[in-house]
Amino acid sequence: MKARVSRLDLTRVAFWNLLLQASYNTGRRQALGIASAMASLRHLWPEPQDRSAFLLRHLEPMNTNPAMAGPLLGAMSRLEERASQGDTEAVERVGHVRRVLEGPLGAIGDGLFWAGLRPLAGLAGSIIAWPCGAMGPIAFLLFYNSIHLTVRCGGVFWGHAKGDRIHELMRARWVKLLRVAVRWGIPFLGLSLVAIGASVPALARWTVAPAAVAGVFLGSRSLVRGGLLAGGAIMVGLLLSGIFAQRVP
Amino acid sequence: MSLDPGTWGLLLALGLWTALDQSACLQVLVSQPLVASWLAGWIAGDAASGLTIGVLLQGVWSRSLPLGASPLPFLGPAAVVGGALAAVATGPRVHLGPAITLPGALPLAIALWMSIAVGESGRPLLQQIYRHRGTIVDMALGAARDGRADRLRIAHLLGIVPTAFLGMGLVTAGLLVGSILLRFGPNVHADGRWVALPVLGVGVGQACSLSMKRRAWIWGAAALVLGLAVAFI
Repeated sequence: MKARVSRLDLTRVAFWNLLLQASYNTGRRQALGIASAMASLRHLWPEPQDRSAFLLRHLEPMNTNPAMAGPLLGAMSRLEERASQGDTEAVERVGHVRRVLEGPLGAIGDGLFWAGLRPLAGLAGSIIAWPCGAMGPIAFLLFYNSIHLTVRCGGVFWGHAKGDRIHELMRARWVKLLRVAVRWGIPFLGLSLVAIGASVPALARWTVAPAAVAGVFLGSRSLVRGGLLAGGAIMVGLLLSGIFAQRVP
Repeated sequence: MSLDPGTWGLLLALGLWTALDQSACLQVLVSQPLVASWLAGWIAGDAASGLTIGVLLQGVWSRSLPLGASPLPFLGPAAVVGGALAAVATGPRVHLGPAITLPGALPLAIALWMSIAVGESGRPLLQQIYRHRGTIVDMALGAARDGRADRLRIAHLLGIVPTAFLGMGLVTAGLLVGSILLRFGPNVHADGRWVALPVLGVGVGQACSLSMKRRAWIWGAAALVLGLAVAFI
C-alpha cells in the first residue's frame, strides 16, 4: 500500500510551521524549521537512506515570509507524497518549487503582513484603545491573527491541495483586496489618530501635527530610524514641558 | 516605586514570551508594543499607563520590518520594560483619553527612553545569536544524515534558548536601570502630554509613510492641516 499524507500529518506540519524560526541563522536561514516541519512526513520514506536524503533536501538554505511558508510547506508535502509513490520527477520539483517561490512569496508576505496588516491593525488597535482601553490590544490581536493564522496554518492544507500550482496565491483576490485596504486604511487611520491626538486639550496638541509631518517625511525617506526619531521627539517634548509647564491647566 | 518578587517573576515570564513571539515561535504579535506594554502595565498594577506606552511605541516601531531578514529592534522585551516602568512611576497622572493615563513628563520620558534603549541594544545582540548557531546546524545535519528526525527537531528547538535568555536578561537590565532612574530622577511633575504627543505624531508619521512613499508630502500636509484644524476647533 502506498503511503499517503493524512490531514493529521498536515496538522503536524502546520504546528511545526508555528516554530519555523526557532533556530533561524544567517547561514541556512529557516532550513531547520522547514526540515522540522517536513519531518512530520517521515513515514513516507521508511528506508534509512531515503529518509536521510529526504531530511537533507529540506535542510537546504531557505528564507521566506513565515506566514507564506504555510502554502509552500503544503505544496512540498504534496510533492513528497508523489515522490514516495514513485514519481521520480517530483523529487526534483520539490527543490525547484522551493527555490522559485521562496523569494516571491517572501516579498508578497512581507509587504502584506509586516508592512501592511501589522501597521494597519496597530493603528486600528491604538484608535480603539483610546476610548475602550483593553479592547484595543485585543482587537489588534484578533484582526491580525484572523488573517495571519489562516494563511500560515490553513495555507498548509491549501498548498497540499494545489501542489506546485501555489503560485496562484499571488493572484488571489483576497491578496489584492488586502493591498487596497492597507494602502488606503493606513493613511485614513493615521490621520484619525492625529486628529484624536490633536484634540487633547493642552498646549501640547500643537506638537502632534508637526511631529507627524516630520515622521512622514523622515520615515518615507528612511533617513532616521523610528527609535532615534522618537528619542528626539522626547527631548523636544521635555524641553517644551520645561518652558510651558506653568501654562498647562 | 518598587516591584515585589511575584511581579518581577511575571514580568520576566512576559519578557520570555514576547522575546520568543517576535521571531522564534508563533509570531501572533503578542510581542508588539500595543499588547506587550499593556500586559506589562497590567502586571505591574496600572494597565492604562502601560497601554499609553504601547500606543506610542506601536507607531514608533511600525517601520521596523524584518524584510529580507534584516535585524529588528527587540520589540517584545523593550515594550515590557516601557509598560512596567510607566505603570510603577510615581507622581500625578493625566487622563489622555477615557482609558489612557499618562505619568508625568519625566517618568514618561524615562520609560520611553529605557524601552527604546532595550529595543535598540537587542538588535545587534539578536544578530549575533543568528550568526552563531553553527553548532546546532551541524547537529541538525548530523541527525539528517543518520535519518533521525527527532534529533533534528531537538537541534531546532535548542535555538530558542539563547533568544529566551537574551529577552529575560534585557528585561531585567531595563527594569533595574529604569527603576534607579525613576527613584533618583529630579522630583518635577510637568504634564506628560508634552512628551507623549510629539512621540505619538512621530509614530503616526512612521506608520503612514509605509503606504505612501511617493506621495508622502500630500499626506504629511493633510496631517498638518487636520491637526491644526482640530487644535483650532
